[in-house]
Amino acid sequence: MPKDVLRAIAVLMILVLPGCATMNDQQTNGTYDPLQPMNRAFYHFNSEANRWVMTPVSNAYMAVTPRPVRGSLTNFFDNVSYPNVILNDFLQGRVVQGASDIGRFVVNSTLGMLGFFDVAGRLGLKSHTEDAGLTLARWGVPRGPYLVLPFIGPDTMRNTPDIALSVFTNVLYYVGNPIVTVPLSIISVINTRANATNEIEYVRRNAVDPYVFTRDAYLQHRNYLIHGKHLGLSSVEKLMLPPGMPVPAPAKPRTDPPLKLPRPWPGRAAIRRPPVPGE
Amino acid sequence: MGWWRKAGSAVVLTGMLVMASVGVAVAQSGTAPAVAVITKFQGTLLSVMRHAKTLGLSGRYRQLAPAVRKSHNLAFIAEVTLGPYWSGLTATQRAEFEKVFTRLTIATYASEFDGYSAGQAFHVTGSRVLGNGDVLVATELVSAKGGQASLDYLLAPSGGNWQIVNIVANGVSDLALKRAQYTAIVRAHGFPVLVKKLRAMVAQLMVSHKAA
Repeated sequence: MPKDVLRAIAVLMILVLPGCATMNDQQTNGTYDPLQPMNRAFYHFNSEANRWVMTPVSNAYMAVTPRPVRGSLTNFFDNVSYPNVILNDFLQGRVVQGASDIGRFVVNSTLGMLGFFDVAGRLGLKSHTEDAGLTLARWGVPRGPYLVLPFIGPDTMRNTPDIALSVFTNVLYYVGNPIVTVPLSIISVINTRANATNEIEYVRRNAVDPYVFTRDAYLQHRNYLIHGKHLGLSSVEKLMLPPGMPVPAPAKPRTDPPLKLPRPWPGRAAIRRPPVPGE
Repeated sequence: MGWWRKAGSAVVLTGMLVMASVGVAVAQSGTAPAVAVITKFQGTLLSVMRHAKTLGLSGRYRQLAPAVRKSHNLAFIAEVTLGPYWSGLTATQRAEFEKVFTRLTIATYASEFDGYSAGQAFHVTGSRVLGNGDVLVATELVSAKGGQASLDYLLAPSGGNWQIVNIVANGVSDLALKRAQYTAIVRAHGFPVLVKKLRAMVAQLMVSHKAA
């Protein structure tokens, strides 16, 4: 992709971003999905593209590349994209983590032979997950609507600047020789898809509504990352005490017996809650 | 005067440390029965994983069924997953939903925990009592290669025992995912369609693994 186009995308993302800031708190928490019709269309498109194109390609790739080779390629692609993590460490003021990540990048790029081997991990320099979306979240920028982007998948408005930033901070962007970068980029996409096989299969087997499953799992996991992989107890308690749960929209014509209007949630105590053992 | 101040500070600090450690001990002893439920359940799960191939899917289902029924409050979870729609169901519909939900839960465990890699183990990493009296038990599933997945269990008292009412894997709540999907389907298509889909899913889980 020409650099000018990428710059234009980056500028566009920055212009779009202030729009997110106008979202209210209710829209930034829970599942805010006002673009659902468009998202579902793109979800269907991605599912079909995955089914007919990416799955056969990924299966063929896994058949010809032994697991250790795929592991080394994953290490390599993680390493060339790692400057994005370092940049976001410092944008969030995480100086110690940033220093550790610089060390990780240097060690893997040299001793780890361009990153094919995770030598730094064995030295205790652990990998971190940071991106522009997490940085903006920690700066207090509201999440904005949930998005499903063609070929990319689940995302949110707040995360979109990372699409451009991750390109600019990728080492391959500065190699400048398409003979090298184009095949590597293609392998990177196929390798990423192959690594996601288990997750995709899990959704296929276990989701009653794959769109809702993917959306909610994605948003919950992003929230978990925003809080530094710390499970917010208040959010857990909120899940178990749903008095504020929004009343469903008026039901469409259906085939089942009409449901009564939802009554107020009785609270946990009212539901089969005998005394605590030992009390 | 300075000496007295230092001595006084030391006494206060020691007292605070003692009180804090007593508090931690009390909190941990309060969660011990709930932690025991998780340890026992994960022990069963690990045993099933170790013998997954010889047991086969139906064998795993049979071994896990009593452990899942005992350690999970499936009736409560089923109720919460339907949110406000639960109150509109008849007693027969509720029983029907609980039955299919229970089968789905056991079938999911039996189909997903279908193998064991050397070094895989569950570890309890912490526990605490929440504001509403429930207990959160944090665990992780580690592999010999260093990979790990966080599994947090929320337990509530029921029938004289502690039972699991929610599982959060890497920050993703199983209960919230199910509730979002089930209520969306009931809202759009109605309760019978949801039950039909869940039955088909149970059948698919069992058949696909038999074929494999």
